[in-house]
Amino acid sequence: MTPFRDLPIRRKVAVAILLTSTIVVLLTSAAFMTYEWVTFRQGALTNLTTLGRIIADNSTAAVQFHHTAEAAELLGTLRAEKEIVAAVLYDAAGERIASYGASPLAPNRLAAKPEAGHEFAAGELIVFQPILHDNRPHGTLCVVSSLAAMHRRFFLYFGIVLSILITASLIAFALSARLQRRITEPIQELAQTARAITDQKDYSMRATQYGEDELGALTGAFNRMLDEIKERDERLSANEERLRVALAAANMGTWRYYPQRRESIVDENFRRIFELPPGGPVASETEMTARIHEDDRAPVRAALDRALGAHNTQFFHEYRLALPTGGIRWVRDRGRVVHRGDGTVEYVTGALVDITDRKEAEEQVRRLNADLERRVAQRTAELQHANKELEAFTYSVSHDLRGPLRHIVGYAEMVRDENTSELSETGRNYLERIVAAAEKLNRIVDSLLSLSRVGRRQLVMQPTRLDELLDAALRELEAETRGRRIEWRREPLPTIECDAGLMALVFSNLLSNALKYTRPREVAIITIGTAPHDGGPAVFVRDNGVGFDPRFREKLFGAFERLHNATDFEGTGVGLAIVDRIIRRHGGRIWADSEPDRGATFYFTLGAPPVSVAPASTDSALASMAKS
Amino acid sequence: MPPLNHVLPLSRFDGLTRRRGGFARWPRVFAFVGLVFACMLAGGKARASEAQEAAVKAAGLFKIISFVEWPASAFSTSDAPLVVGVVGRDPIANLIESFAEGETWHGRKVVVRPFSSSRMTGECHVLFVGLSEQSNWSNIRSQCVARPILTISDASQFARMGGIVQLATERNRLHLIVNVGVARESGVTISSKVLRLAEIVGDPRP
Repeated sequence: MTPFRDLPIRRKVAVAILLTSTIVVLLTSAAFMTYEWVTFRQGALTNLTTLGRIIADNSTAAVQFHHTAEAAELLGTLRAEKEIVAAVLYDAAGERIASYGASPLAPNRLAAKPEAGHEFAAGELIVFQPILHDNRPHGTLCVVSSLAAMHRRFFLYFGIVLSILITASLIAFALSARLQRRITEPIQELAQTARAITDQKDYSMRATQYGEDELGALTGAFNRMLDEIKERDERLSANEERLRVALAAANMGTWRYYPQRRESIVDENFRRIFELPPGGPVASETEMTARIHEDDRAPVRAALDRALGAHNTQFFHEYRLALPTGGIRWVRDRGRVVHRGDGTVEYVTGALVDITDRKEAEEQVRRLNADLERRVAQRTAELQHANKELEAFTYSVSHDLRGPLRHIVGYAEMVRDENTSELSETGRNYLERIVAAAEKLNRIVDSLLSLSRVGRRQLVMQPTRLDELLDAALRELEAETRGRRIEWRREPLPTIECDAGLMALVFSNLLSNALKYTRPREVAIITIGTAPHDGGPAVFVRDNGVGFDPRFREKLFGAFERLHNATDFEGTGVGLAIVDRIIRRHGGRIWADSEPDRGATFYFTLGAPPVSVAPASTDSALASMAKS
Repeated sequence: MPPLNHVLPLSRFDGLTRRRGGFARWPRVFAFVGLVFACMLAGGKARASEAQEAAVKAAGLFKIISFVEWPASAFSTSDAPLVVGVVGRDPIANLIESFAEGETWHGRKVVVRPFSSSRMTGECHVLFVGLSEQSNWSNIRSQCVARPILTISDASQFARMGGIVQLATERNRLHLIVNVGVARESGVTISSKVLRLAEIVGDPRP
């Protein structure tokens, strides 16, 4: 049998109504019957007691004087009451004086009683009434009344009550069947709608609302909830679509790993990247481990164990997959551990991307780089070798040229000096020219030797105050400046780790250059200072000389390159090449800025940072030197 | 006391004896028992029967009193006793005196007083006339006329001779003969309950 709580509401309401009405009618009937029963009994008792009192009062004398005939006559009057079946009079000694009727009771039950009382027994009511006269008992009257009539009446009442009960139940049933529909029908319909929605997953269905009572409110709330579910459903599926597209575009697979179950919930992308056979969302740990490259299994496990550790929640690792087709796939896997409220690990969630392309590109770059480096090293070695050969050649040529040159100069001078008389004016003139040319050639050879020495010499690096080098250079140039008006402007220079001998050569070359090209100026202005530059200050030497065409600035530092006519400005064309080589050997750079006739500025930097930076230059700090 | 229950027929009902306060009744019982024994010792069955009859009559006197009403004027004070006068001497008179011990009438004490037949002075509500004073009846009756005195005797023809209640016995049961005319004249009222049991003489109408 179905338990009550599982019955349909229609039945429940019917049962409730029937039960209530039946119990009400039953209780009412019971109360009514009880009242009737008690009233009947009390009525019968009062009646009989009253009768008994009258008889007892009337029979005081008869009892006292033991007058049997009179007593019998008195009892005989009870004939008028049909229900009285028997009556007995006893004297004070308990002896029977007179009796009336025949009681079905045993004689001892009718024994005399000294006090008033009554007994209900076997369908009869017995009343005992003492016969009192002048407050003294003189005997007892005992009257027996049959309750049969009362019982008949009671049974009639019972029958009426029973028929009322049946009728009331039938009416209640019929009424409840009609009335309950107003309550149960909306509920049934709501339940049906809810079931249909659950079964068909169609959230566009709506329940019909009847009235504005609690059921109406419930239906309304249900419908509003459906609206919201539908809206959320749409939003959710739109988001899911976006996420799916994004994951597919990023070629990213997501997973959620449950350490206790040793399995993961994975998506389609994950399956594709791992090349797992098509299946549900669950992938076992063994299935996934089998895909990881043999050499990477232990590191992946270690990374995961670290993430599961107490103080770490992040998981990050790049590893290889050994695909069933034989290929290798690189993935970058990033995850986060999620803990339960009690601190234990619930799961690890994460995402991985296929980075095979990137890894391959990186590998290629690395390979190309290695190749390039190898080739550069080879080329460099070749160049160095060529350079050395060239230097050796230059040196030997220069060196070998010096001997013949000395002979030329020596013999030419000897001819000039010893054979003065034999030579004509013209001859002497020619000899002069030979000597001058040979001396010039000698200077060129010296410069070349100097240049080649700069290239071969071992650098001796030490902290050097550039100011001191500048002072020394200026002293050497005193001969050249004689008779000229020159304005020197100096800023303090830093102390730098460098080869002091070579650096002195740099200053003397740059300063003699400046002096040379300012010769046409009435007042030469030469400034030495520092200018801010990437990676440290650059030292510069500026003049107000003839300058040069900036288009040819790259040519400046080549050996034997000349931008000016040798007749206007004497020189070997090697000086700037020497400077350039010295700066380069220090790891620095040299360059020049100029415009024709507007002076030139030569900047240089050295690879090593300054040991101490010169104090900020101010006008007062400028040491101006003017020589007449 | 339990042994007495067996001995005495009157005490068959414990409740009755106890409720009545018991001891007040014992002297009478003893007197009655003593009298019966005395009669039996004195001489034979006839005497014993005579004694029994006397006891019934003496007891009957008190029973009748309980059914009789006197006018309020008959008592000098509200707590004045009911006086039972006895003239003459016989066994009944003796028993009356002993039976009166502890008797009450409507809350008044019942006292027994001997009177002389020649002159009746003082209050008297019931007058028992012994057989010995039968000859003086006319004298006694004249003194009682128009006074509320219930005259009682066991003398034969007493009621017809102007007495009010005559006591007789029939098979050891009391039989009453009442002269309702005299009773009405005297001013005492006898309950109809008794009258229904009694033999009525005289004219009840005024």
